[in-house]
Amino acid sequence: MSRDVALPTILVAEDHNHDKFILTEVFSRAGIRADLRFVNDGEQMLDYLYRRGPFAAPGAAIMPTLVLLDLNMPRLDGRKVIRILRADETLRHLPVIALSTSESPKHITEAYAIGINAYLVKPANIPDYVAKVSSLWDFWMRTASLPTVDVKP
Amino acid sequence: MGDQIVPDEGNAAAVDLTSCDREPIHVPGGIQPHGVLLAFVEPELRPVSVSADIEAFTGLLPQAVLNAPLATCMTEASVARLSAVLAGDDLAAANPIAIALRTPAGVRDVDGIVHRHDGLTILELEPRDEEQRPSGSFFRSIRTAIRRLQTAVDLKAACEIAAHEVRRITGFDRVKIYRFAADWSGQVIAEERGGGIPSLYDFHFPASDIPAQSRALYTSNPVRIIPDIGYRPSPLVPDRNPVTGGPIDLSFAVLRSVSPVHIEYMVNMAVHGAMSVSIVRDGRLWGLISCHNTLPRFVSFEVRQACELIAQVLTWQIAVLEEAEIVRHSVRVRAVQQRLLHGLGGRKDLHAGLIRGGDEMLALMSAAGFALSGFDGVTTYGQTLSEPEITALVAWLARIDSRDVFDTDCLAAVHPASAGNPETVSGVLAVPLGRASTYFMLWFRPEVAQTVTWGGDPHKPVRIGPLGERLQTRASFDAWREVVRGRSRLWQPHEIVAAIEIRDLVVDVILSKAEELEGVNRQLARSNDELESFAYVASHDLKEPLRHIEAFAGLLKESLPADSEGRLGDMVGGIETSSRRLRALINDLAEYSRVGRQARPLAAVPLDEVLADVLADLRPVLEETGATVSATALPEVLCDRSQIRQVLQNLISNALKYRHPDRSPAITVDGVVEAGAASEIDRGPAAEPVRRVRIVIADNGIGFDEKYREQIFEPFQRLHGPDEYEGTGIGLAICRKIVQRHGGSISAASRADIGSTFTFTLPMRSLDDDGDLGR
Repeated sequence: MSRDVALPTILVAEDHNHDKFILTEVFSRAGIRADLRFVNDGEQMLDYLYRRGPFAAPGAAIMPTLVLLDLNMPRLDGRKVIRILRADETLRHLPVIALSTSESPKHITEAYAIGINAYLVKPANIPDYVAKVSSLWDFWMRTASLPTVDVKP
Repeated sequence: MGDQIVPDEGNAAAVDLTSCDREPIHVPGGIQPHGVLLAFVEPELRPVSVSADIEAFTGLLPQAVLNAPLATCMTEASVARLSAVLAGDDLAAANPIAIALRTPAGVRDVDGIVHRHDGLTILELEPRDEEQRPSGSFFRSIRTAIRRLQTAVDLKAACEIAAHEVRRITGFDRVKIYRFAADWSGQVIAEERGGGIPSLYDFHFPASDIPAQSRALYTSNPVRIIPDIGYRPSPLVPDRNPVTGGPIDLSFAVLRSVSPVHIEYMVNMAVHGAMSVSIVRDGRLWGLISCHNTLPRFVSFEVRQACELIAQVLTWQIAVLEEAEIVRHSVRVRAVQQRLLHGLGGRKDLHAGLIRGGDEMLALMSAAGFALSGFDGVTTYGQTLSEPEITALVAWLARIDSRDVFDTDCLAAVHPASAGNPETVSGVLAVPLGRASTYFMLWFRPEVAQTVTWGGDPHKPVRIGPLGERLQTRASFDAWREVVRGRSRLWQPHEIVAAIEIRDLVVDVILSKAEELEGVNRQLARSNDELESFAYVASHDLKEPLRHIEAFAGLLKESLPADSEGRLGDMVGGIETSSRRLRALINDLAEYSRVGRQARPLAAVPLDEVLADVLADLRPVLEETGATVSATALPEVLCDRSQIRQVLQNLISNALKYRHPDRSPAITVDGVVEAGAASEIDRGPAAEPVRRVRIVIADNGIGFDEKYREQIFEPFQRLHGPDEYEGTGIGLAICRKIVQRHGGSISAASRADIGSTFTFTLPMRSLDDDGDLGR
């Protein structure tokens, strides 16, 4: 791990400001120190990852450790973004965690089938939300070994 | 009435008039002796046959005339006139020829009437009555007659005028217009009479009274006179046509001898002189102008010709007036149709509309009753068959593949099973509403006229002739009545056309109503679909802000300083509680809308298994409440398993939830297979009866007031506050929607404090292909 100094970067694709606010709060209440970067939709996310458009400037887009992706976004939908990432040699290793309000088994299965690494139903209840995000953080940042961004597989 | 002959003169056996159809009445072998007949084979003018009564006229024996020059019995000038006529083109136009017979008392002027037939030239000589000689006033009188005829406004008036004018010209005691029906029976439709002669107006006569060959003679030889029925026929000497070798054909002879049957008939009617003029329309014998006299009466050839002219004008008038009648009828049909259309169009109920226009429709069709057999059963108006008879008739009509109009004047003859009292209904006209339809419009007619008021003294002895009692008008009328028993007036072509037009109108109304209904249904289905997808989408979209509210409330709560938890905490708690409730409502709304949206095809499912699953799910609650559930064996039903599971789950959960505080819940589940299953709501879409299971779930809970038995199935209807019992009040609404989707129904009964019973039905075997009854 070469991230002793810098906080881990989490790229969050989330179109709703309330959700951004809530998620930020939840991270904070879970005591997580992370560099949360928000994009509004799938297109912005791709711009970020490919460092183009508003993210073309050097340092404007730090390659994230984790991607949190709302599946239902305007313009480029979360599912399409995943398909694009998984088809791209330089990005396909990125861990992607789907955020959704849907508990439908159909939706969950579909999401895994196109290559997400985890599926998280957004709880309405704040203590639940905090608990979920804490365990998520524990697993991905403390338990699992993550791929190294710069190393080609 | 016709000329008929009985081979053996003086035959006293009872007369079978139907055998008269085969009598050779055109070759009677003799003539009426008021005239003389001479036959030649041209170019020779020497008689090859002569009537024996030549002797009475000329004093010459037939043998003296036969094969002798004509001048033997008439003047040279007469022979010359005859020769000139025979050399001309138009024999008929030349009649009568002035002939002067040589008699012992000197020369006698007679009318010569000549025609050619069957290779013979036949000259008939009739008395010439100088008083009846046509004069200027006679022709004026004929002109008057014709002008009057042309003013007739309808058929009846025309016939009355014709009878009146013929009587005026001929002086007969009684002149009647006799009309043939399609079956050749006849009726006196107009009459003009004087003196003491009784009326025959409106009398009917059977077809056998004027047999076929008589009608043929009336058609070809339109004028017939029998001046004195008391005559003795004068034989032809010899009765042999040398050209054909057979007897002499007198079809076109004016003197042709009359059948003894006919004579006796006239004697029985106390008629001694008669004349008839045929009314022939389009080659068919339409009727007769029939003249009777109590005393012998002769009218001259020229007067007879005038009568023939009147008959001809009457024929034209009949054609015109019948056309006009049909036009008038169709105008009336239109008018009635307009009123019907107006009456039907604005009405929801077709039957009521038809009944309202009933009288007009009956008048139009000259019917006594009508019925509409279809959709909502049988509607009748006026004098009709009974409903069971109509049902039987319609079933039979559908069976005999009667795609077209069916009409009969005698239902008992064609379908005795549906015939009722013929005095009420004999004739039926049935028009199917559609191709291969089992729906019909029917019109009914009673038997034709039953009785006639007989004039004269009924106790007066009737003089019966040697041929028997049958030869009387009274016997004729009885015979006719026998023939028409159980028969109605025939349905006329224009009436059938009118019936078809009314049918078309009714079909139009039905179709437009069906279209309207379909439109409403489509609209309903669409708004129902819209409502469901709206509910679904709304619940989805409602959830997001709700989730945010809950999240913010959660954040707020955690942000409150530990010491300020009092009132602020309660407020945030209020937000949270309300949010939870809103979430529950939204979830239920979504679920309710999903019942219609996520419909799976129906499959055979053992209901026992479903119940077992439900009880397994509810085990914790059942144990906690100490409930007992007893179920009888449940059959296999056709359903969407998960939905029916939900219904059972909801109903049993309710039974547990609304348990009585003083006793443990006891729940029974029964499945009853409905016998017959003929009730209307339980019929499948193909109108095929579907066997159904009735499932009854009864509990001993707190029950409810029965006035809410409908209301509890409405979405979000609750009988208790949310603090008393949990829930949004969607459970029973979902149950009802599911059951309805299965083509069944659900109902509830209850007694407060005693318990509740919920009953729903499910189908037992295959329905239509898409398996979805509720849409």
